[in-house]
Formats: sequence, C-alpha cells, structure tokens
Amino acid sequence: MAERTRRLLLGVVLPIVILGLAVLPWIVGWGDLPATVATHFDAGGAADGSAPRAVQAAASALAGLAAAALLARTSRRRPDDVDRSDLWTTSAQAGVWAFLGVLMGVVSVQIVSANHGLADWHDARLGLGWVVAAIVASIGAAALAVTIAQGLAPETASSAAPVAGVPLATGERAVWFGHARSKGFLVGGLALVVVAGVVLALVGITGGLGLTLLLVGLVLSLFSSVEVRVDGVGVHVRSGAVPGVRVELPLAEIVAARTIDLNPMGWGGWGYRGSLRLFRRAAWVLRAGPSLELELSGGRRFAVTVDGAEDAAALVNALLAQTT
Amino acid sequence: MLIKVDAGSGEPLFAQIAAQVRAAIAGGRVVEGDRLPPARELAESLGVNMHTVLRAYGDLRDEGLVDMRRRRGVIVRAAGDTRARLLELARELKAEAARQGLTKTELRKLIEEVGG
Repeated sequence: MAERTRRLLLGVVLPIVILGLAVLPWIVGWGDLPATVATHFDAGGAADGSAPRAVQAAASALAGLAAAALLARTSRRRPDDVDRSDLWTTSAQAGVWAFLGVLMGVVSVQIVSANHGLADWHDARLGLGWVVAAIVASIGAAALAVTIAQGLAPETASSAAPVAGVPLATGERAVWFGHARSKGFLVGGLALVVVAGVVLALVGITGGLGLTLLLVGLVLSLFSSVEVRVDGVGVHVRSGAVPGVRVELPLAEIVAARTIDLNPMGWGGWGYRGSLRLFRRAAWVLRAGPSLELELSGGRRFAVTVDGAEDAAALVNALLAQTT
Repeated sequence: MLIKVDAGSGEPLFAQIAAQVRAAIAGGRVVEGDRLPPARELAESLGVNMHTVLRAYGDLRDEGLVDMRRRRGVIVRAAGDTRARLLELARELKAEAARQGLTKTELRKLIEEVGG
C-alpha cells in the first residue's frame, strides 16, 4: 500500500466513517424517535436508562467528531519526523481512536434502531447481536488502523547507527557483558515495598491496597537493573534484580545489530514495552539514551538500554559475520 | 566489557582472561562495585573450562583487584583501576627487564635508584 493511500485511509476515510456512524443514524431516524430515548440496557436487553433525544444526539455527534479528529491527527506527521519508536506510539494511538470511534458509532446506530418507531422509551429492546456486532466492528477497526499506521513511515527515517563488527579471528571466541541501572526504579520500588509492608501490618490484606503497593514495588525493582550478555549463542538479556526474568535471542534469529538513541516516551514509558509476538517490536527500557537494537528475523526488532551498547552491537555483528 | 580468547595463541587461556579484565579495570571500562559474570556463565560463553575462569578470577583477587564472595559473585574493588594500572606497568617492567637480561636484584636496585 502506498504511503499516500495509507494517509488517505487513516486521515480521511476512517474518520469520515466514524463521523458518519455517529451522526447519520440520528439524521435519518430523527422524526421516528420518542422525545426521550433509551440509552442504556440491562443484561437481558431491557431498557434501564434514558436521555432526551437532542442531548443524546449531540453527545454522540461530539464523541464521534472527537474520535475522528484524533484519529485523523495520527496520520498527519511527516515521514521525516517519525522514527520507529514513535511509529509504534502512533499506531497504538490510531488503534485506540479507531476502536473508540467505531464503538461509539455503532452504539449510536443501535440506540437509534432500538428506539425507532416507539412512543415510550421503556419499550426499547436491545438484541445480543448488537453487542457482538459493536465489539467485532470496533476491534476490526482498531486492527485495520494499526495495520495501516504500521506502514506509515519509511524505515530510513531513524536515528539508528549501524556498527561495524570488531575483528574476530577464526577460532577466536568472545563474550561481551554490560548493564544499565536505574537508581530511581530501585529506590522507588523498595520504598513502595516498605510502605506496602507497613500497610499490610496495620490494615491486613483486606482492601487490597497493601498487596497492590507490594506488587507495584516488586515490578519497579524488577526493572531497576538489566544485564546483557553477548556470546556465540546469542544475546541474553535479564533482570539484574530478579532471577529468572530474561529474554533470550539466539544468534540464528538475529539479522543485524546497531545502536539507537532510545526515547522512553516513544515507547510509552519504562519497563518492558511492546511485544515481539504481538507487535513485532519490543524494548527493555530503563533510561533514555544509547541502546542496543537488534533486527530479528521476520522484521521484528528488539531494543535494550545498556551502557556500552556500541561494543555490544559490534560484537553481535562480528559473531554474525563469523557464522556466515 | 569484551573478553576474547584464542586457544591457538601460546598464552594460557586463564592468563588471556585475567589480562583483559585487568586492562578493563585499568581503563575504567569496569568500575568499583561492578560485578563480573559468574565463572560458569563466562566459561560457557567462551567455551572454556570453568576452572580456567576461576583461576583467572583467583589471580585477580590475589592482586587485590576484585573481591570473590560466595553468592555475591566477583566484584571490582575500590581503587581497583589505579592498582590495575600499576600492576600492568610492573608486569611490563618485569618482562622488559627479563628481555634485557637483568636479574631480580638488579631490577630492584634500578627501582630504588629511580625512587631515590
């Protein structure tokens, strides 16, 4: 699909569909609706909530307009200011707005059709089919928007720097190891664990506050340190704080290595972001700055913040050159 | 840090490993408090016997560059970098003296002369 087509679909066609779904049912059905329409239904499909016709129509139109505008915005960025990690955020946003937009649109359609031709909103019924249709349609729209957005930027526009391999003589074996640490995560995480301990001691486990704090604290400490090892087997990434939390990337799956200047905001924050299986890209983020990025088979990408990323990338490339 | 071993070179493997860790400490590429990988992992990665790595780590400990603790692993000691630089120079000096045929006593005298 051409870049132009993608922008047209994401910036114009999908927003118009969303806006149309939100507004058209009201225009078409206006005369046949009661002055007060049923807007909420119980599990059995019977109406249990209502709103004045004009208010509900205006709210639907505004919500549709907002979702359409936000979705259109995701297509507006020029290729040269979109780097790959930003692209991930952009497609996630496109997916969310498409999902919400279509969901609200289908809700408009079902409210109008459920109230159509009635004198009293209490008689309105909602079939289970509508609920299924709304879910299927909005998930489908989200998937479509993400797919379109994923292809938005040409891959050349990025800060990635290729790294030449260190010379490795035949028969020579090499290993590189390094780490990245985040003091903020460790201090914050441990502080939360201590607070959780106090809460648990005072309140007990009822209420769940103590357990929630404990869990958040443990997750924070989990990502306070990351250790990276590169050897003839591949790249081993693991948490320096909690044993057993690791990512193993066999050399056979690695296509190339380079360094990137990673921006946590582009990944939506810190910790383990993304998913190699679901989004084909993932990053282990502890800080901003120099990171090792691995291009993997099947167009997947994995990045990890690590001090001395350039040396790590150099060894990966040297090992790759040695095997071929 | 990067560690390379070459089984084909005349130098024993444990000495190759120790020399590279020493150089990394001297060059500040690993600093005080940094942990070296567990001997078993390093041995696995380099395809050498674990005792080879343990011998290299043992030498570094004897030189006062690292601490070896059960469970905590091998940690680079404070001021390890300056000590490692000194050790490297001393090693070089000893090798050069041997090449020039100096005896130990002559070398010691030479150092005293410089110091005086």
